[in-house]
Amino acid sequence: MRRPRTGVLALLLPAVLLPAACGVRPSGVVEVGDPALVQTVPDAAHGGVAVYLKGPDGVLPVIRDTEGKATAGRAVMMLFDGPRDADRAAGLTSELPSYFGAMGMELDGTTVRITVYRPVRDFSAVARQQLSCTAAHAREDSGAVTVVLKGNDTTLTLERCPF
Amino acid sequence: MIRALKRLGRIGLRARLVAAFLLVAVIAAGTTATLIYQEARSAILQQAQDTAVDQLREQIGAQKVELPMTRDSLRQLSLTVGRQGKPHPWYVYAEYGTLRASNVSQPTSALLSEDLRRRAGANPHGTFQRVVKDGKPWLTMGMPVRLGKEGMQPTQPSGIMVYAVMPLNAEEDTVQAMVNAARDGALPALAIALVPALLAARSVLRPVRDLRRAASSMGKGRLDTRIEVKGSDELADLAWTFNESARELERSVEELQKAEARARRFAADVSHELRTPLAGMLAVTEVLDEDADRLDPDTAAAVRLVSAETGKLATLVDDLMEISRFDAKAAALNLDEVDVAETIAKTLQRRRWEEEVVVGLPDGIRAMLDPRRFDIVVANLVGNALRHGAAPVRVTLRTEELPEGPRVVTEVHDSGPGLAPDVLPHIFDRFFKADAARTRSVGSGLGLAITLENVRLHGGTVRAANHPDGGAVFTVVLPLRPPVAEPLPGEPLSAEPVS
Repeated sequence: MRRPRTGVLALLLPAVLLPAACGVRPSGVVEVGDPALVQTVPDAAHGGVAVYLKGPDGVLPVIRDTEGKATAGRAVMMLFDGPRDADRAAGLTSELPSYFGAMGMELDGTTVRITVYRPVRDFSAVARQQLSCTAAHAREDSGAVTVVLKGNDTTLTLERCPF
Repeated sequence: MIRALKRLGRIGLRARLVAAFLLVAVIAAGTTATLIYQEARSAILQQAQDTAVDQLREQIGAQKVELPMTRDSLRQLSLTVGRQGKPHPWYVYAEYGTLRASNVSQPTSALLSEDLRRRAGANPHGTFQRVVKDGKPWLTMGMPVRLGKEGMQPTQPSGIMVYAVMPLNAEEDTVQAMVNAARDGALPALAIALVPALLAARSVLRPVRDLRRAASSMGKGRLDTRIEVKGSDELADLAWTFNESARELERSVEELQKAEARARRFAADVSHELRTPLAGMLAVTEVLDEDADRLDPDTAAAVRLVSAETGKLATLVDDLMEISRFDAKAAALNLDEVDVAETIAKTLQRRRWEEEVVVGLPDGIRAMLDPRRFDIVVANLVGNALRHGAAPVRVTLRTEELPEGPRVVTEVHDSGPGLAPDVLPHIFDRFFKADAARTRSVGSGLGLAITLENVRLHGGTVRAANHPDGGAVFTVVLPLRPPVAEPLPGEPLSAEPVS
């Protein structure tokens, strides 16, 4: 009884190893390393500001050329201008209403206060995020900025931009 | 025949050893090759994958993008990245918002799995997956693109996702080449393994063969057979033990032979020593016998008894001396060409048995015999038949052609009750008495033993049996011309009933 069993075991060893043997086998999904990093044209130093629009998977930045006047106020004004044809062609939209009225902007440390003269309570979550991210990245690269939005109905402290 | 079949069905030691060696070689080579192969394959693939993912990341990082991307700029990006793909051109599928563009005609690829898309979209990491489609291996990669500079945190999503697909043909060829190399290397390795296998088998088999030869040689009686002890392994131990046993056996046999020789010499010496006084006694008893009539009856009876017993003693001593000569191999055959029928007739006549014996003796059978010994043989058998069997006793003579050569067959057949079956095997033993009640018979108890020795000396056989019609039959078969060489001792002598 003992001998055949040993023999079978000896024969099994290569048999166990063989199935994993030949050719290139499929694999699961493997994550390796960082994502690719690119720079935009024009960048912030050359008057580019990021305006956040709604894409298929959340808000995305598009770069507007301010021709040298890259300020936070300008960025927020360009956001209120809404998406352009090229943005729409790529499926980007904005949930902010068009607003061409007066706008106040106050910078206080890491806090940006924006004052618009219209109701802001009905701004959707995406709209608030668009505003928060646009204001934050126009102000500072890190985006660690608190944005306070004051309308003529209420004052909202917007959630920080996640990026 | 059966042995040959058995040998065929049995796997020999050599075959087993060689098979074991080859099995070990196969297992060792197979296991090693498989492990090396697996390691090498994963190393080859790992390098190809890492290089490809790194390159994809680098190629994309070298680009400057305008956001939002347009269909044209997206296609431009995929073309630029795809062109620089190494070591093989890549199929690049770039996605932005709802835009899809690629460097080939289809904007997306079926090779990209849902899982890859989900994982690449969910986590800011490069991802890859090997897929096999229609037997061809592909490397698919997903690379999310983010805005930022190397070493600066945090980064922002750009909304651009680049997928690249690269054939793994070259890697598969390399892997296949390793398999081929392993296979091509394994066969010669097995062939080489055969050499030590055969050598090892030989080194084991040679001592075994020597042992077998030595054992069979000892079985044939050559007790001085020894084996050369080589090395210090188990087989050498076995050979040493064999030699020791053989030495012991040889010594024991030698001692036994010496003891037997001593016993025989003693019997011979005793009988020889007894002969001289007996000769004197015989002479005296003859004189006393003649004068017995003149003695008073009681003394006369005593004298006759002494005379008769002395005569028997003389016969016994003569027979003992005859047997001793056979034991000492000192009995010589004095051959003479004689007419067998005439010789038998003379024997009967000399002992005055013509009236009691019926003869069937054809004339003209001539054989080379020792007339004196043949006379003893016939006289013993006929005397036995007359004493223990019953008249009529028939003596017949004939010749037979046997495969070994022509034979002269003499049969002595009595009309008595025959021999008991338990007596038959011992009938030719020395001092064997068929009739246990008659311990004091006329014979010495050596008659048939001497008959046997004489027949043997002629190279013939003697057989005792019961005739189907009743009565004992003794058959003596002698060659017409005895072989020149001395007959082998212990030639088979059968003593079995005919019926």
